[in-house]
Amino acid sequence: MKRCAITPRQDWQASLERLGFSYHSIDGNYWQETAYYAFDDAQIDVLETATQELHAMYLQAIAKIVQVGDYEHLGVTEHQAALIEQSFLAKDPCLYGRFDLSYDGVGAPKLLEYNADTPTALFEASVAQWYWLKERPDLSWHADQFNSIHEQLVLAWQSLSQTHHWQKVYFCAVTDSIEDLVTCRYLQDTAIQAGIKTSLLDMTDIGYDGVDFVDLVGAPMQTVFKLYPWEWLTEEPFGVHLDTTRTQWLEPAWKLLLSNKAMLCVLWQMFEGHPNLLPCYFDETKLGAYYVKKPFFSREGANISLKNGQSVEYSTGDYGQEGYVYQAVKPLPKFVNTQGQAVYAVIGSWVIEHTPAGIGIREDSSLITKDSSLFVPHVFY
Amino acid sequence: MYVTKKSLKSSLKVSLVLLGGSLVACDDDPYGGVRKPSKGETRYDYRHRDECVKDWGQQCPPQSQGVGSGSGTGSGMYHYYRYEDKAKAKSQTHAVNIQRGGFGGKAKSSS
Repeated sequence: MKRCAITPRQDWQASLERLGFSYHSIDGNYWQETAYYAFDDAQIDVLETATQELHAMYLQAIAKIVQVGDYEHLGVTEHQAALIEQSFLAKDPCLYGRFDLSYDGVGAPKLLEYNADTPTALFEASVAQWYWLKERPDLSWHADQFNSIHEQLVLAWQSLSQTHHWQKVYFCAVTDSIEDLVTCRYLQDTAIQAGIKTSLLDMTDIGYDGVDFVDLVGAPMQTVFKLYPWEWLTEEPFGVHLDTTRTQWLEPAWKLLLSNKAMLCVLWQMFEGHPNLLPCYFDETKLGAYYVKKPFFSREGANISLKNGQSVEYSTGDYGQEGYVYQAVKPLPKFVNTQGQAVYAVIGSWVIEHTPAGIGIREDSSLITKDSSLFVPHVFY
Repeated sequence: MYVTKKSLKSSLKVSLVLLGGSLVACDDDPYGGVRKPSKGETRYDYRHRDECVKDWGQQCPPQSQGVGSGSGTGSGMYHYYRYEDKAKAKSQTHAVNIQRGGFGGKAKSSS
């Protein structure tokens, strides 16, 4: 795994905007093509295998939790547990998720967390970096990219809509957030390509008519993709109707458990010593002076603390009331950018339905990856 | 060998129909083909025409109103439009009473 400096495409901003990637320079700098990451094909195989194994372990873990009914320590309310069980036992389908991995190209990739419910940076990984490589003949003549995300999404929609007889899928998001809106629009785009009828709604436009969740003309919403966390859905005023209404949600309620970082402790209990896992506990004393403290439901790197001996590096945010896990430290691989500054790279490895489909890389000057971290494309040889 | 690797690891084609500049096929009408009420008009949404008849008698047309031709009943609901003074509009009807805003209280949700 190498970080390679390269001259950006001429007029790269316009190229991205033609795709609909309007936030490429949000907060001044987001999409970064003054460099790319390069892997060999064996390293890509390692990432793909790790992703498949991790997803399978998560499914085993949730099956065990649901079977035993033990939600103690997981920060899950009774109502949430009921929704998780109901959706998991009903085999409600899932669409996508993203594992964040620490991988330096040499050792085994280590799981940092599973963004299983509301992952973003999808359009960047699936579309923007794919076109970047197509428009780089100096690379594309001999390099490939681990990225079949787009094709897998279209295939997934085709398969899901046929299996579940979906007439129409509503796509709901906080449309004031450009990143959420583009992610939702992109998924809607792939559903349309699969032949599905769709509509986009803001989360606040979802109605309730006393029986069903309904759209703007009062029609029942049978299938809804929501880019909105389950723990928020259940806490909000309409949350009380989630178990009586007939809407099929994507992602399903059982993803509430998979996206919960308490699962990192459950995985370590069940698969202790697995090469893709880091030791993780509910008790900070088990890891000595070096660990990462993570809230169960934190998003975009919020409220993460990295304790390194006497020093603590931390990020701010609004999470943590639900509880914390303490994970062993596996520092992200360090590279030097063209300005001579140290940067740390995290690999986001995508799962579509239940299949590894590609990666996207974020880098930051800090060891904690946040929403402001840069997106850098990749190739493999 | 190269072709085999590509077909396994990378999308062969990435096309967009909704995002970007090539809008070719999109059913993105959040109203499901149902007309929004015009100025001075009120739309009553019913699950069935019978409930409209309970409110307005035989003024309710046989077919749902406000639905574009060729799209059937659109929403699956029965819609009845009336021109009336909002202040004098019937307050108690059999029309579906819909609450909104029960989701979406938080600002941003991605990870």
